[in-house]
Amino acid sequence: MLIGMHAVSDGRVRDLSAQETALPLSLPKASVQALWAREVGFSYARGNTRVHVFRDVTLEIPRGKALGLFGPNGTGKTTLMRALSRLQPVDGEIGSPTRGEAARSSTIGYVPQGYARSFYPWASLETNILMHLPDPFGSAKRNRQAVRDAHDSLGLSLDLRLRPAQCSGGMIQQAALIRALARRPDVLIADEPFSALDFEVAARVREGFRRAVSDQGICAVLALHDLQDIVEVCDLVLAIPGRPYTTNPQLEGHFRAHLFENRSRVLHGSPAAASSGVRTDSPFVAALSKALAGEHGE
Amino acid sequence: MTRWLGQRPVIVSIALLLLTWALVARAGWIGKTLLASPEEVLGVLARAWHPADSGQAVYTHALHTIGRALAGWAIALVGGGILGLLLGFNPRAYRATEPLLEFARAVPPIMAFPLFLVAFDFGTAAFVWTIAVGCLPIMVLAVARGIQGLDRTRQDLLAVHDVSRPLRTVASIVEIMPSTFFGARLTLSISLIVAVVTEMVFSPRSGFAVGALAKDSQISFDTPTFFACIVVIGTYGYAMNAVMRRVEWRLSGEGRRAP
Repeated sequence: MLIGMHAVSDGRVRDLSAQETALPLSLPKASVQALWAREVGFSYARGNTRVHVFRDVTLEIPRGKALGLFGPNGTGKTTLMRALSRLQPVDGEIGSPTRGEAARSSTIGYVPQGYARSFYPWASLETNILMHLPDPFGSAKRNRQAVRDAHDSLGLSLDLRLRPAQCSGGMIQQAALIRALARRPDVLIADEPFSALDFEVAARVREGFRRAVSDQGICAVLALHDLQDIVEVCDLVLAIPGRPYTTNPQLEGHFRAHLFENRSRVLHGSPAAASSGVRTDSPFVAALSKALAGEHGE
Repeated sequence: MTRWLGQRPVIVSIALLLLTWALVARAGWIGKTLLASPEEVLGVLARAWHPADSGQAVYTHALHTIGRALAGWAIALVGGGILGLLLGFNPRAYRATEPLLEFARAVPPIMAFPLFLVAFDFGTAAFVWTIAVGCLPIMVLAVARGIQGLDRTRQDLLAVHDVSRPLRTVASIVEIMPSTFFGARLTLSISLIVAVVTEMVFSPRSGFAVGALAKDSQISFDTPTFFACIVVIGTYGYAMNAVMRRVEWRLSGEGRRAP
């Protein structure tokens, strides 16, 4: 099913269409090259009843692709991301890519929702980042260069000698993104990573982030609430209408989460190159709204 | 001048206290056996600097008391820190021992003093260990609760990023500095209180003890010396607290200016 989207920028009309895609994209055989989840579910006990947050969620995010989780608050996006980053034990299977045969596990970069609290106030931003590198006691020169590369790749001009108390929320969020990317991750999980950035910085960061994901072959998963972020950064979008949700069309009594492929990225390469506002009355937004309302694709 | 004082309210409050003290003492509303005037107290403190008076100076007594208090506090700081870390990183052991620690914290350390006097043959160690035992449970609880309350987001991030255990431990120890410093400042005050109270109960062999001097001067109606003891000990407590707050402020990162 093709859903067209048109955004007007400087008098030009761009096609920001998205296409709903089959689930799963492929069975998780090529696990080395993808982050995948098969029939993953999470529930918790409340009294004598079992409360399901999500169930039978099957996904695959190939290397170099970004998946956006899009839906209302409280639907379990963060829980799914915690599951994918192995912080939250869940039912089902999760696999992640590694670099070559020698690597025992994948390197994960994580941008938490509470990014501001994740920095130690007694150290500079740079020290905070360095201690999260895979080999923090290795070559100082190489580690500093990794931080510098991550900083530059996002198009930032952040003074990393500052301490967190001397930074705004947006500056700390930039540092959190640098920290995740400096690890040269196989998998990058980010919970609302652009929420505190100003308009100009956000545009640069989205473009740099998008390029880093493609160039470094990162499997990225992002929880996003901004359509501009979705359109410009994500190759795939999982629209989550409510809780409990599932990607299994056969499972009844659950909200159906639909996976869309953002075709504007396929058609135009990098939409961020001509950053524009996203029209709230566009067909794409309408389609996503329908999907979130549980009216789509059935 | 007004603006300068406005930025330093502590100077204003000290000046007001001294002024009120002087007025009340001069007015004679309270008898001389109960309240010495500031001039008399300053006279005692000034005389104490004189070489001829050095043997019996309030400062010499205070230094011995402070030495014992610091020794007991240091034992509690190291022992409590290590025990607190062990219990903090082991939630089951913490849950098992927390009621005992709360019990020990509630018992006034002075109650253990007679036992320590006998156990340590009425020597200095009895004073030092009474102070240490009085401070230890508080330090253990401060450190253990700090570890238990480590920020979940930071811990999650360290786990996801597979940060090595030694580095995580160091980061955790630094993270609990605020609660550790709170425990250290609290026990510093307690160490001084216990030191003075034990000296008031039993004078140490050396004879140098500000608690004993205060008690003796009170009994002999030497009110200026009694008040001088209060001023010296109070000033020391205030100064140590200020130093620790300053160190804590620097370590917390708030004291660093933008480069």
